Formats: sequence, C-alpha cells, structure tokens
Amino acid sequence: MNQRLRTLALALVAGIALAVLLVVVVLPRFRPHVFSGTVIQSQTPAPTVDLITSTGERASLGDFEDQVVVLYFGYTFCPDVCPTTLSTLKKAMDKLGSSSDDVQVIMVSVDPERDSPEILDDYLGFFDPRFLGMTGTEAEIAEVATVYGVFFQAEEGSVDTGYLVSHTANLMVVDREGHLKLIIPPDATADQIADDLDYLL
Amino acid sequence: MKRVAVLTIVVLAAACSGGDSGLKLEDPWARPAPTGATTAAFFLTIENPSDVDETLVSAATDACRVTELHLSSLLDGVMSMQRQENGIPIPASATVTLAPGGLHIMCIDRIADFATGEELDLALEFRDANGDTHIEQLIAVVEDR
Repeated sequence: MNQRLRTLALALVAGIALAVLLVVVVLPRFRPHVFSGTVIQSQTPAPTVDLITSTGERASLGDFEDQVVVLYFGYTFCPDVCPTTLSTLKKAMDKLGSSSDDVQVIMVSVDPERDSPEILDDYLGFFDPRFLGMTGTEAEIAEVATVYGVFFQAEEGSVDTGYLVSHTANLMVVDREGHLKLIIPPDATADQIADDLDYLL
Repeated sequence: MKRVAVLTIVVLAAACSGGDSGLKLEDPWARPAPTGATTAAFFLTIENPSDVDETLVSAATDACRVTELHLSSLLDGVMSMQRQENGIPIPASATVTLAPGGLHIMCIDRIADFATGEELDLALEFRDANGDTHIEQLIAVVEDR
C-alpha cells in the first residue's frame, strides 16, 4: 500500500514537472511573433534612397539586398534623442550577436549643412563602425524623406545653437525582400528592436 | 581629530544633499558623446520637498562652452526641442526628472570628452518663489545607459 502511494506521488510530481516544462519552455516557441513596431503590408518595393554615404561614395537601398535595413532620420547636432536612439540600436545589434551582420543601420542626415560625410562617419562610428550615414543636398534629402513620409524642418535656435531640426523619430525597417516592413517608434527598447529584427532575419 | 572627521562628514553631507535649499539633486549623468558630436546632454532628478516653489534657471559646466535648458517632445511622431527660456519649474513637494526624450540640459560646443566613467562638474542655478537664487554644485557621471 505504502509502495503504491509512493509510486502515485512520484508519478504526480513527474506529471506536474512535465506540464510546467511544456507551458514555460515548449509552448512559447510556437507562439507567433508579436511585433513591437507597426507592420506595413506593402507589396511594392520600398522607395529607393540614392545619397552620398559617410564613406564617401553614392549608394542606394538596392546595394543592401539580402540585408534588413534600418533607416533613421537624424542629425549630429542633436544632443538628446538621436544619440539615445543610436545607442539603443547599438544595444539591439549586440543582442542579435552574429546575425547583426545581416542588419544595415543607416542614418539619413536631416541637417546636410552641418553633416558632411566625414562628420557622419566620425559620429556613427562611435556607436558601431557598421552604422552608415547618408547625406546629400537639401533637395535630395527632402525627396527621400517625402517618399518615406518623414517630416523634417529647421527651427530657429538661439545665438548658441543657431538652428535645431525637428524630425520624424521613427525607425523604418526594410526587409530582405526590399519591402518597407516595420515602423518602430523612438521609445522602443533594445530588446523590442532586437526581437523584431531577429524575426525578420 | 574626531571633531574634524565629524565636521568633514557634516560638510560632505551638506554638499551632497544640495546645501540648505532643501532640494535633493539625484543621479546626475550624461551619455557618452560621439567623437563627431559638438553637443551632449545632462540628466538628473530634482526633488523639492519644501513648501516653496523653485525654478532651475541655468546650468554651467567646464565641460561645455555654454548650456541651455531644453525639452524634447514627441508630437505626431515628430521629435522637436523647445528651449525652456523661463527655466524648468520645480514645484513645492514635487519631483522633476530630466531624462532622455524629455527635459535635459543641452551642452553646446562640448569641451570635455564625455567618455564613459568621466566625472563632469555641473553648477545649477535655482531661483525660489521669493526671488532668492542659489547655486548647487554637483558631479555628473558619464554612463552609457
């Protein structure tokens, strides 16, 4: 009798352990990915970006085929939000590990007057040497911004700042097939960004 | 000897808590600045447990040629910065946090490196509701958060 009770108790404990394992470890793997960013269902290719890179040559989006491209519009004179976003992006890249090599982060300058390719290279290299800057004439940048629905506008500053630039702060993610796939808000965490990018890779 | 030690502790405690104004200035920090950047930002938490309204009027540091008080704000997905020309109000019995994406002390023409671990001096000028001004000295730590 005692023996049978012990067997029963053991079976019960083993059963509970198995159930916990199933719920905690196995089931989450079958759950569909929930994006933190807003998903864009577009079948047309993402508008191209044809600008001068921080390494000095001209490049367009097509040059990053087979990579997930994260487009950010910002500027180097920006003291708060731009470095915060780029630092978060760097942390997301770190979390992705070796697969981050398949992600190309591009910051398009909304301040071509201050941001030369050299300054952009210096600035972005600080966060991650793989981050690429893009700039051009004001008209070229305005064209790229318009097709991505990005707003930017120079605002009068003080004697010391001269001018500041208001700009759309979202991250635009173009998937490996070249479709604009995601819009990630500026307050997304490194974990959220990494999870979304990881799913697209 | 003992008296000297006690005195030192009292002086240090006064320096840390922000003098006799009653303001509690906590966790002053700055993000590491990219080499190509001429700007940077300082953040901290300011607690005003007193019953007198205070205003952060200005900030000064050897780390930057000049500073301004700013608010980053997100409206319809567009981020913009507004200079707080009348200062940042720290109402009585309130806590105001200067943090990324919001209120900050903008550093213009960066002089210091703002390298991780660097300690930067920061002098904050406050004016209370009676019109009296006082300056609080603190040290901001550069950290990648």
